[in-house]
Amino acid sequence: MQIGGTFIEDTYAEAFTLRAARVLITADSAAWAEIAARTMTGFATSVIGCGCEAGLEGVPPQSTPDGRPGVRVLVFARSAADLQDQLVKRVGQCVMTSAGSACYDDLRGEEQVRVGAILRFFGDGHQISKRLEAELFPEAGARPRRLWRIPVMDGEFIVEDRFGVRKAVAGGNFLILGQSREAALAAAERAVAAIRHIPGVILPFPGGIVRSGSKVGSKYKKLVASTNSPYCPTLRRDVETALPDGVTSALEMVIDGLTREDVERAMAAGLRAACGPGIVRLTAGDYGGRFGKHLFHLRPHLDGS
Amino acid sequence: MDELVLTYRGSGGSRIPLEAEAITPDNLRGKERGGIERLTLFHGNAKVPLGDAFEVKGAPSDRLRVLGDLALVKGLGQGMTGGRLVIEGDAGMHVGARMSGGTIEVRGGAADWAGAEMTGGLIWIKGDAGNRAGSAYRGSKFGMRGGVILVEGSAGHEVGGYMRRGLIAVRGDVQDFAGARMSAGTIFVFGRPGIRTGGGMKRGTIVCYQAPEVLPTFRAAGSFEPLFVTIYLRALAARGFDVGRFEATRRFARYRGDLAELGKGELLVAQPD
Amino acid sequence: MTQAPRTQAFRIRGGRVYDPANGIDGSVKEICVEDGRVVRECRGAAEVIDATGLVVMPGGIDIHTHVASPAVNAARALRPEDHRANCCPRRPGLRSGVGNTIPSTFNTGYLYARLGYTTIMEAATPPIGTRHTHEELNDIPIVDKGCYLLMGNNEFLMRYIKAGEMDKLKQYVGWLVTSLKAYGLKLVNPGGVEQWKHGKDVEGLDDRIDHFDVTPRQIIQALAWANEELGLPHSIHIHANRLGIPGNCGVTLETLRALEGRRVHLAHVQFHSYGGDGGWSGFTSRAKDLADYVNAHPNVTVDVGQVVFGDATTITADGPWQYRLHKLTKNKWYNSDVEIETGSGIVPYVYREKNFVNALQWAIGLETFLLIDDPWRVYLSTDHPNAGPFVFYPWVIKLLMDAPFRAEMLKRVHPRVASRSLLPGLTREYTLNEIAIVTRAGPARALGLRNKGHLGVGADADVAIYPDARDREEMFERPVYVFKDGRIVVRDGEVVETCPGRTLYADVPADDRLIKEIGDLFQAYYTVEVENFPIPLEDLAGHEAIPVGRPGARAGESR
Repeated sequence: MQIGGTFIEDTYAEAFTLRAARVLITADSAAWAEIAARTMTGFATSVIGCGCEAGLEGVPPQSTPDGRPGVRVLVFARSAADLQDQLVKRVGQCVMTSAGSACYDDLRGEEQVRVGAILRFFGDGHQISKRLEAELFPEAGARPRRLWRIPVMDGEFIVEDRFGVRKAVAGGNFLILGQSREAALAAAERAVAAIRHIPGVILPFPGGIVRSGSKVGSKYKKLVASTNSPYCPTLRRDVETALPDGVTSALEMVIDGLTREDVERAMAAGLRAACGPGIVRLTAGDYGGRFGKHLFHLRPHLDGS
Repeated sequence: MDELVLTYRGSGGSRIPLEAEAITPDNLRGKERGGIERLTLFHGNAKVPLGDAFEVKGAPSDRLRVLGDLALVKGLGQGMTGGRLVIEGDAGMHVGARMSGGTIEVRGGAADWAGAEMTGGLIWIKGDAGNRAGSAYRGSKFGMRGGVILVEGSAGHEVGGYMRRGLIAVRGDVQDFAGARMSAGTIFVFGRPGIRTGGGMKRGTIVCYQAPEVLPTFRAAGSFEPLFVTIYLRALAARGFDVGRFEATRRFARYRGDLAELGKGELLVAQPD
Repeated sequence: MTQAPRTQAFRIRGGRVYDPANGIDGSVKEICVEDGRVVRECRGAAEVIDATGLVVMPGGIDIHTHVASPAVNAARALRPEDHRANCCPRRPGLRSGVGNTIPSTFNTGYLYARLGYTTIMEAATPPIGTRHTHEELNDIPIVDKGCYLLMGNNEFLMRYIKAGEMDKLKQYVGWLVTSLKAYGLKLVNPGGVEQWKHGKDVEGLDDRIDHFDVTPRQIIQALAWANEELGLPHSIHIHANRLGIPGNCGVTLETLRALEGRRVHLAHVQFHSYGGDGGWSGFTSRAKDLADYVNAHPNVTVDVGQVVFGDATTITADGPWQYRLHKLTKNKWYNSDVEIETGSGIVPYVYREKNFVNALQWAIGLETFLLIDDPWRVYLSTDHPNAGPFVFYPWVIKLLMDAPFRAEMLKRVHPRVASRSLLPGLTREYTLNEIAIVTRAGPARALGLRNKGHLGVGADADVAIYPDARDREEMFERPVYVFKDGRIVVRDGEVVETCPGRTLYADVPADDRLIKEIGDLFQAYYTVEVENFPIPLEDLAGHEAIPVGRPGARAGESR
């Protein structure tokens, strides 16, 4: 299959299940909401080394509880317990500290973790709880919604008592193999721009792009992963390369999403956008189906384009 | 949609109230007309079959509509846990008292004790509410413990007295002792408050859009822009309770009290620009 | 309600009779009743009651309850929410009533009768308020009743003690009992309630009471002596100092030691068996220490004051304790000062299974029942309504008789209780015979009521007949028949006939030698005239004089 001169490999990406939370941050301006969100999602590229994967959703929320500008953040972690730990730390250190911010749950699930329930103690006894009665706030989760008003220096920090968590899909991916670094980067940037229109997904890596994709295993016993040598251009004589002739640079797109459908939409948009001049091939890192439980075949995403 | 309609045959000139707490969606659900007509109401201390007091029409349902001059009909919807009850006209005392779920819409006014000690559900009163809406009965430690009471008109004394949780919003005026001895919860007064607002408050919030006479046992604590007020107002507006024009007022003076009690309550008084 | 049959004679046949006072332990025996008494055989025509498969016991006797007094009525006024929690409409022949933890008077009588109880003792009435108490007792139908006079903080008594005028003390006490038609003497936090009038309490038996300069020990010993001198049928009845306070067991044992050799009844001992250092975190059980003492001292009787989870209302004369409870719970609080005599305090309370302190209190009560060997000296009570309403006596009986049920409850309550209590290891199960003792025969003996608590010939025909249900709570909740003075008053758990019941009073011979001095004291200190103080017999709806024994009667002597 060829699209715009780019060969689409008949392969699939393996993604796996993580727990996700969806956090809505509002502030007095969109700029300040974004500052809080970016700070919160810093150092959150991979669960392996960062405790969670997190990023801003590209699509802003249609409405926010307080009517102010807002941004949505997705956070993915291995377990609900990890997610709680990450949320408490990140919201506490990065959102609460950000001027004028407020922090709401945007995923009212059956399973919930305690965030405001723990952060409230920062109020030193002066915190005040306000229930959001189900009769006025109909989309409740497992229990009625509750906000904490924590007194802070610029007024009050509002944070929801509990945040919903659900099983979600992490590690949807594809690889862009380009004739040059510029071409590969331009294609990846096009993919990022396209994926930003899809709600429910994030691209946790810097600028949405991974330049140092990894493979499972290492010659060093202590390392679980190492550089993806078959895709490293300077190693084409040292290892069995996966790079066709003419490819001098590869980049990887990693997509985390709330549902399988969200990831599929993002894959399709990204793959389509990445095709074009200078892009020899789009492929994915398959691990023989042993790694992840969600398989995303590349070609069907591009059928009919 | 299926609906059961009860039409009050009238009191026949009697001033003795009809005790009608049997009339709830829970109680009437699943019963055939005969069963409904045989339910017992009390006229004073005399038992009266429901069918004698009300004409029963329509299909058995979770949705109940009650028509007639019901100002002396007490306890409609008392203790209900779900379903919908529409009262076309004024309702007597204790409408929705102790309810835990469902919706009551009173298309007229309600007499005293509307929603007293309720724990959930919604009561929407298009007209005026009487005294002690959402309040505690004598001796009880707590009044309303959850749910929402919306009053488009005005309300009487002791609205939300001994409140433990929940939300009350009155678009009109309230009389004296609103939120007396509140433990928690939120009361919005969009009209004029009476005297002794928040007397004996322990915790909880009373939001006044017109300045009350603040008790001397309340301490002025500056002003701020409470975001949670905006959150509630937007939700009220989304529900159809027309208070959208108040969203523009963001700044409130804050008073902490009642110092004669625990003193962790707050009186928020709107500061229009 | 059906008309009672006109016959006054019944032959109760085929039932298994538990009459421990007469050594009958479940044998099938016929009981004959006629003209209000148990008889050997009926003279006239008798209706036969087929009690096959049923259990026959004497009517129940509650040795310590708070059902009628100015304080009880103040509690009713304080708690309109308690009325709402239980509304009983009138029925033909029966009055309406209200009240969950503090039933109104008529309801009280019906509820007791429906459990098969036929005699109750109002545990605390202040002398000046005893007219009120009798009015309420008059309005409690069916059951026989008596009342104990509050004495332990009486100013005139303290003056006599200080002056060493013991003879006058005895005459004054005698005059009070006679004039007020009382049954016995009650001490509540002796000395402590007087101190409360100045915002204080006592900590030990040898604290000196302000102004009167006597000690709790002196009050206790003086009144115990007077009790025996007057030959009152019941021993001195004591609510010891430091009720409810962690670590109070020491004072409790001191109180008992102060009366070694004398008869003494210690009320609601569960509340007095606490270890710890005064704070709630160190709260522990010392029920074993108390039980060991009771086991070794046959002069002592106790009622337990067993905690029942749920709503309760605390009503005592122990003013400082009630204030403490008010501060602890922040619940509404009533306090009164009774001139010259005592005080009272009322605070609503809820006992919760998951509250560590409440759950341990519950366990302590059960430990007390299970560790005291002699069922003749430990009686069932919940200090109604302080530790719970009396309507839950069947639940307590089930806990005593059914060890697996007890173990299940132990799993439900606060988890730390299992390791802080001996209860997990106590597998003893009360037998029906023992239940009959702790609820009937034992209290009758302690009260000196010769015609009650047993079914021997000559006894009052107060009989309760229960189904022999495996679930002992169901059994004792719903008697098949209850007889009062030989008439069927309850049938299948419902009241079918009502009658006024008699007020029992100790028949202390009138002794007016001190009347002039008492009159002067009244003139000087009381707001009432001494002439208005005594209560004539005609003011009691029904009455029965209980004979007093000879002065100086010793403990354990059969009467």
